[in-house]
Amino acid sequence: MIEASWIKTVLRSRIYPSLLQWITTGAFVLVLALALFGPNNAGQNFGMALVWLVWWPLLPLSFLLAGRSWCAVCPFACLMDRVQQGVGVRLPAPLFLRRHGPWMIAVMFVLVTYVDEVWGIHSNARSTGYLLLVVLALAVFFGAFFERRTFCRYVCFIGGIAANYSRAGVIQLRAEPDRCRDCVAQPCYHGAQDTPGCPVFLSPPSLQDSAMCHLCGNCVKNCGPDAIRVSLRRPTVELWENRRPHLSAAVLAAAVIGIVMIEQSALLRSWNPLLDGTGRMLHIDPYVYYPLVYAVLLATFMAAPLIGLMLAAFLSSLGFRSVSRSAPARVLENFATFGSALIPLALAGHVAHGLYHLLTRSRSVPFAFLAMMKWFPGSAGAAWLPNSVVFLVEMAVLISGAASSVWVADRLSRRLIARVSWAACLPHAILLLALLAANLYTVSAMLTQMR
Amino acid sequence: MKGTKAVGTALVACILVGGALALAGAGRSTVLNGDCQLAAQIPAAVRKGHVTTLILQVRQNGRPVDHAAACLATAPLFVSLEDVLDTTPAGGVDLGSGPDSAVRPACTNAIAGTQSGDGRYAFEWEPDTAGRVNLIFSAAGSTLIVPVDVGSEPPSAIILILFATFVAAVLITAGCLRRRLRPGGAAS
Repeated sequence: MIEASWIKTVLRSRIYPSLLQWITTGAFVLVLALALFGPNNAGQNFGMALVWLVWWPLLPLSFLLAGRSWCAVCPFACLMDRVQQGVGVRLPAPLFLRRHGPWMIAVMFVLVTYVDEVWGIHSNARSTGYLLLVVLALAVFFGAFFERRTFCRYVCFIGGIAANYSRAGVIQLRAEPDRCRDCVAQPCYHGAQDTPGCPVFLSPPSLQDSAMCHLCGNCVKNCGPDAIRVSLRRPTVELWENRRPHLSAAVLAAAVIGIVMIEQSALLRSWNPLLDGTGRMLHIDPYVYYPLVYAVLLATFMAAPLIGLMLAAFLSSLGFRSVSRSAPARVLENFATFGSALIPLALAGHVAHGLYHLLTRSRSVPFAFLAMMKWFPGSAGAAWLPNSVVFLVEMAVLISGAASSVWVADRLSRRLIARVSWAACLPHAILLLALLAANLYTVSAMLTQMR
Repeated sequence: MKGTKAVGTALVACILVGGALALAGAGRSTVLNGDCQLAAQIPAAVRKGHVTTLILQVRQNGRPVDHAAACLATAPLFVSLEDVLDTTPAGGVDLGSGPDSAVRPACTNAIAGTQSGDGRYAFEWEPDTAGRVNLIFSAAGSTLIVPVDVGSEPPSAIILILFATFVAAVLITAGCLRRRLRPGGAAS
């Protein structure tokens, strides 16, 4: 763990995050205007190119490298804060959300993924505009009625993956309990004269993971005794050190692996035969009833890693039972604990998929900008790198993700029973390798297809 | 903080003004080659998904050229996201369905023109993409490229009205509720 004082200096700065928030808000207004009123051609709409070829592919990587700092500068959060200042009622977050928030976020993420594919949101400017309007309406609603950033903490569909990936990330913000002991006012939580308290209801002295911290810097600015420490750490370390695994995080990690797989598969030539086969199975025309067929396929792709994890947890719990009484012998406990080990692979799959879009298409972003200015230069490619290089990069990311996952599973096992038990670990290792093989297959099939 | 807000507001204003200027601008150019003189008549507004009739006038030495195989194709100006995802043949020929014509065999993967007068050929075109599209007319060995801005459908008025109504209702309700819960309380 290396203390990163320069990050702390940034967080303490008065222009952070407000300046960046204003910039992202300006960009958001432009993107929304272009999505609603610009050309409905994704390749000639600068707003679309910015969102789907730059922001969305880079988002998972940003959680790994910079924690949830995107959430600190997110335009929706900025607009929500303004609404709250103007008309905010500041009711406490509803009990339902506090209890089931993580599950709701996971469901929202799956729903947005489904709607994206069925309505072609990423290739249709108007649909992107409508999606942004819906999220904006929700943000305004929660900002107007509920305190702080209830929307970001309990509703935003990105929150689930942001939490998972930030836990695997390299930035950590914690408070020094010794310095906090005599602090009664707790300005880090309640706020001070100039700076509000934690927007997502966190109390730094009791903070144990990086899932929710937005790195907005409010606690750093408010803390008199200078008890907040910001450090750089080894990636994934929190996944095995955290003693309170979340079932929802494990389920989401497995589901995301399935979602990335179906997104990759949809780019393959074998996608249409898969649709045809599913249509035949359901006795319907897969192209007429595409929403239904896609729903079935999405459910199947998400269920496969989940069932695999459940099976591995069952076998692993049997293995643990044979070596230790204190280890997670219950299947669900094992599922949640070792589900954390899926997070690096899910992150790697997401990053690899994002890099594919970024490296093979985002060179068209400047041309989309010029097209917005009604200036059309000569022919130009959309890819930054040849396909073969991009696929090598993707494979390297996937393999390092799988290696990290195996490493996390190994460390979890050592923490739980102070040694490696093959009977307990092997089922999870086999599952991870199977998921890696499936990911590598889709990537290599893509390469073969593009040759 | 005031300085930050001022800088931020200025940035937002610049971005919005730039975007508005860009949306307002327009430009068009044509290229002519071969022995014939080609002239295209494009409707002022061409919209994605709407069938439009394009007219090509073909002349040689000032006389109309009849019975030529007149074809219409499109080509993308640059490789974009949509082009990457597009499955049309190289060269960007993808015009949807055109009218059947005797000259169709000469216009593979393109719309064949139907002669509608002295040296006049009509093309029924249904754009399947929006934004800038290069239309390539070819007749009697000559080619004419006409860039056309295909308009997109406007956003759904119902959705915009619903959004505005919802936001207004939320803000008004929250404002009233806030006054009732905290009488005399100002924004904190």
